[in-house]
Amino acid sequence: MKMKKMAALLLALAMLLALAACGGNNAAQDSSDPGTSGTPGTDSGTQTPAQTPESGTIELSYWYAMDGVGGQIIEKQIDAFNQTTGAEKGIHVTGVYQDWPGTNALTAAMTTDDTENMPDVIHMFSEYVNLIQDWERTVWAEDYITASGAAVSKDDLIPNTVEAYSIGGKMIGVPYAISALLLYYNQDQLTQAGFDAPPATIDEMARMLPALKEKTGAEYGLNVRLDQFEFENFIVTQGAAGTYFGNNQSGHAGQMTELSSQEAIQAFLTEWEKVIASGAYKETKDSMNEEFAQGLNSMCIMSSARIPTINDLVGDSFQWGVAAIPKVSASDVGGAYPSGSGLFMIDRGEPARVEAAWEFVQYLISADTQAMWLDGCGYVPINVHAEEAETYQSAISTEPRLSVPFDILKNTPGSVVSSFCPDNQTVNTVIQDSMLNFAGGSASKEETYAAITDGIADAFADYFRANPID
Amino acid sequence: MNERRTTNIMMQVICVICALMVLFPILYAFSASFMRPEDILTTSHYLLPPHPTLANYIQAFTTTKIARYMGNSFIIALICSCVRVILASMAAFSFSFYEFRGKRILFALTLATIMIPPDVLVVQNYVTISKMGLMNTYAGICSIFLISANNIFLMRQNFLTFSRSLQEASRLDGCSDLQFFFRILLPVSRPVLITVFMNSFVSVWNQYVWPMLVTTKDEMRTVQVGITMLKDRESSAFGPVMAGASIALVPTILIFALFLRRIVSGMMTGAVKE
Repeated sequence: MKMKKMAALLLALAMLLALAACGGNNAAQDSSDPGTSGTPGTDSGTQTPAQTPESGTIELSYWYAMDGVGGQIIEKQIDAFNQTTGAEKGIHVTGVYQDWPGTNALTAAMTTDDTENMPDVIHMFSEYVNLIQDWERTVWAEDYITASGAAVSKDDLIPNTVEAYSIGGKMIGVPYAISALLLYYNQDQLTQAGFDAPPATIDEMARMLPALKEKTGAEYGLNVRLDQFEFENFIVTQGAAGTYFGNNQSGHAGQMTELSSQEAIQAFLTEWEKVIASGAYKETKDSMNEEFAQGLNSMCIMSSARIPTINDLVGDSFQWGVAAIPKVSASDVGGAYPSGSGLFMIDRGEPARVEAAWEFVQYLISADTQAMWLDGCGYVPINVHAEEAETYQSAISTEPRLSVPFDILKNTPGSVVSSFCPDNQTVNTVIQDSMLNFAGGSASKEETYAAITDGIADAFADYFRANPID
Repeated sequence: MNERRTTNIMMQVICVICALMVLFPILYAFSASFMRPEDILTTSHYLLPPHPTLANYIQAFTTTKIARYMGNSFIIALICSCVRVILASMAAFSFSFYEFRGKRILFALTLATIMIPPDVLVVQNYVTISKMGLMNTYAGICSIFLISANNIFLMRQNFLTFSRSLQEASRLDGCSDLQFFFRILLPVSRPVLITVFMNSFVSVWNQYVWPMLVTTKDEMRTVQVGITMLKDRESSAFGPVMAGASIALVPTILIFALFLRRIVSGMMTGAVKE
């Protein structure tokens, strides 16, 4: 009997909620202007005013793919815009979190041309640029950043970050949350092993590793898993002015259809073989931050975005520093390519929205807003004037290591950029598996080279069979 | 007698070991949710928090609207589970107690839907929901979870165990088909109904991709989406994620605890003749 009552109660509740759900939809639609506002909603939890012709407020939807501290900083940036420039110009932005890589919902909306449920601005990692490169709704940033009256110009941005988001010399998007690959080193262990400074080349590093393992409490001298990100950094920083990973300037002057860095890959593998032979190299990625912070690994190679995390974990336990990753050859340009993510504008069919989106994008790449990254994140402010911002100066005085990736990127030539690599997920798997086999001893240098080049060629062939070039 | 007792004890020991193997990750996740970051990732391994803290739970509640997300998940899981029970039992009733043309084909088609991977239908479902204007609504999120061929199959198999003579006897007593369904069939199928309900509830509660796709408003997000907001790509934020996962587990555990006795009592009904 009780069961019957409970079932009846549950059913009644379910029907009530179903009705409420359907009713809520109409109310939601009524409160927004369906013609102009696709995703009115909340900003940091507060209900936003509906867009009405009377208020003249343009509601923008901004999708971002960053969680944790990064996501919190993005929400702060949105709030700051809404309270300042947005309030002044009648623009209100709603942040929408999309889990990494943030492209699933976009792909669905693109496939169906669902303009009502598209973002006006999307934060996307550079490896996914291929997705929107030929899409008719992509608004190229070039047309806006070069227009007279633009608050931010290309000259205000770090040159290689501009190149990193350019195709054929034109910016498809703008750099936003940028980091650089760095060598993190335990200064105390280096000193203990008899070294004054971190290694400048891979060869030098390979010679240091056994001493670090033997003379300190470290289990390994170096920890890094070579995914595409790390591998490609070692390739593109070779040569006097950098090396393109693929043809057509790695996809920045047309579609990248094949590898063009075979010699650089050979050179890198030759040097890396020495690291493996040292017997003090850990090739897997477990808990890199914590292992380094506990002195288990004397050095590791990670994104600059982890500087604040490492600082928190290490505390006063030991002295540590960050430096540019070791060069393959001493004569190489070195440095790092600007990795991370950019901002891309989407035309949802209304020019006014695109103009408003550009106002928002300009705000996000302004010196002051970019300096906000340093408040808990290790992203590099891409605006060269960020150095003048009070937030920047305050953050750098507290944590001087945050200036290292900024300086590295400023001094790395524009030709050192990441590739717009087709099917980057498969390419990443090919590189990761091949380098793990190499480090584990189950593949020779020659076999590793063949596995990487053939694997990537196969991945590209599959990709272009499904996505033929017009 | 001794041999039987020994076998019994061994079986129980094996069961306890199996249960611990299954439960250990959950129990450790719960324990880790009370640990400080430095206690989770350390060379000394702690099964219990050496310095218990509520900081992870505070972070889960302050950095995301997890209570709201749980409310959304609960509403969605409840609606879907109730509707699934109703639709599956009715469909199963027709498949097992009625004879009509095309019955076998219809049932085969129903089963065939199990073989279609849900991912294949995502875009088409998105188009439908978007064109119906159901984005950011409970109706839009629930719509694709309202019926399950698995549930229909399970209930049909259960209904087939009932003798047709039971229905004929009820007809002789003046019962209509609906009365037979509601007054006789469903009450005696209580364990299966509850199993379907619980199974649906847990399955819908754990959905991630679809609710993420059809919601662009923070207040419409579900708890599984909320948990992903607690992680951090650049650090190992295990504590807050474990706290979020522990919070998300509570309703499913409660539902299970609430209905467990009824499943057992339902299964025991008629098992022993007194």
